[in-house]
Amino acid sequence: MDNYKFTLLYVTFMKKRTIIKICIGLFSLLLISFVVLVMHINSVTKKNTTENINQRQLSRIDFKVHVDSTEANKIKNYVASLDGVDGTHFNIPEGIFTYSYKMNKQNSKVVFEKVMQLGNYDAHIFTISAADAQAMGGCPMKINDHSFSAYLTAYVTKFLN
Amino acid sequence: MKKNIFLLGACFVAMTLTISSCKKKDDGPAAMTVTPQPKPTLYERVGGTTMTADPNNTGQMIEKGRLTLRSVVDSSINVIAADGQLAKYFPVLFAELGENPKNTSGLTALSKNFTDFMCVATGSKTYLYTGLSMTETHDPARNSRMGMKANSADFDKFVGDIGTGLAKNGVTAANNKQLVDDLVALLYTTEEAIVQDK
Ligand code: HEM
Repeated sequence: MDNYKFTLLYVTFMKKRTIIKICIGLFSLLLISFVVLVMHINSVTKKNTTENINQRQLSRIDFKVHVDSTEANKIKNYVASLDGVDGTHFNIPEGIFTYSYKMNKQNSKVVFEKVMQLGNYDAHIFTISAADAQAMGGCPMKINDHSFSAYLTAYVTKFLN
Repeated sequence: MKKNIFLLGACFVAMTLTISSCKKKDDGPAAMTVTPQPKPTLYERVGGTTMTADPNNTGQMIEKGRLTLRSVVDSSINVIAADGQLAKYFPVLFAELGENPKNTSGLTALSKNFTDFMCVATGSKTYLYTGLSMTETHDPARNSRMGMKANSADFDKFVGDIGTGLAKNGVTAANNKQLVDDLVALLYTTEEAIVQDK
């Protein structure tokens, strides 16, 4: 009888140990799966996100009087040579000049002032108020980039990079 | 000791399971059904998957094909932004340009999404387009960044501006007519979805 009781106790004890082992096993399985998932997300998203670190902006200068092609090229080449500027285009017939640049390196007001030093052009920085934008049909307040997922993506991207 | 071996075993099984399941999804059935392509894809023709240094991001590498397409997209965005006829479609993008622009990511996002789109459209398997569908993107009711419905004349002007963007990167009808024609033909496959003012 005593022997039987002892065996019963032993079996219960063994069961507990087995359960603990299984738990540890499952937990490590979960942990490893998670680590692999994070590594996987990192490796598949990297290619698409690294270019986003450098925020770029576009600016436009409108010329009221006609600028000929020699003058336009002078302005274009000058702005293109400025630090952080990665693209320029002068639409000569319409007198519209656009350029894109890295925001941490250039500022449209500074560029405009520099352009004005090249020649005293009758020109202005093209801007559009939020109200005008709305009148044109779009609503800047509804920009998708302000959604929770966009913020989360930006945060995770920053973290991973 | 026994416990350690058991744990090690569990870890090994877990690792094998996760890694092998990952692999299967990535290049299992798809890889088997790919038929050999007689002609190189447009993506290959503009540079393909060969890695090269990224001039815009020091210390980073980029596929040559993507670099070409990104340069064309960025040049074209400048041309389109300087196009008085098309300005009315871009109220939000233009509202973000100011004397002291706020840290908005509109241009960065547009450049990235347009480049992703062109990579996928030309046949890249590396990149993924995660933006809206062409119908949704160009429907002012569903995309607040789109000022109004586009008409067919403005679509032609837009494609012409991309042609100017291509020329800014050294590709013209005079020196590579086939490539220009094929890219323009590719752009025109989206006309049905984009031109919504019919
Ligand atoms: C030639 C074919 C075209 C292609 C392949 C194309 C493709 C695209 C893509 C990929 C985006 C980004 C979508 C996103 O971020 O989810 C976009 C945005 C946009 N597209 Fe197009 N598009 C084309 C023609 C046009 C035309 C003809 C117009 C107007 C005349 C137009 C107006 C716009 C506007 C207003 C936006 C939003 C810009 C912003 O982010 O502020 N697109 N397009």
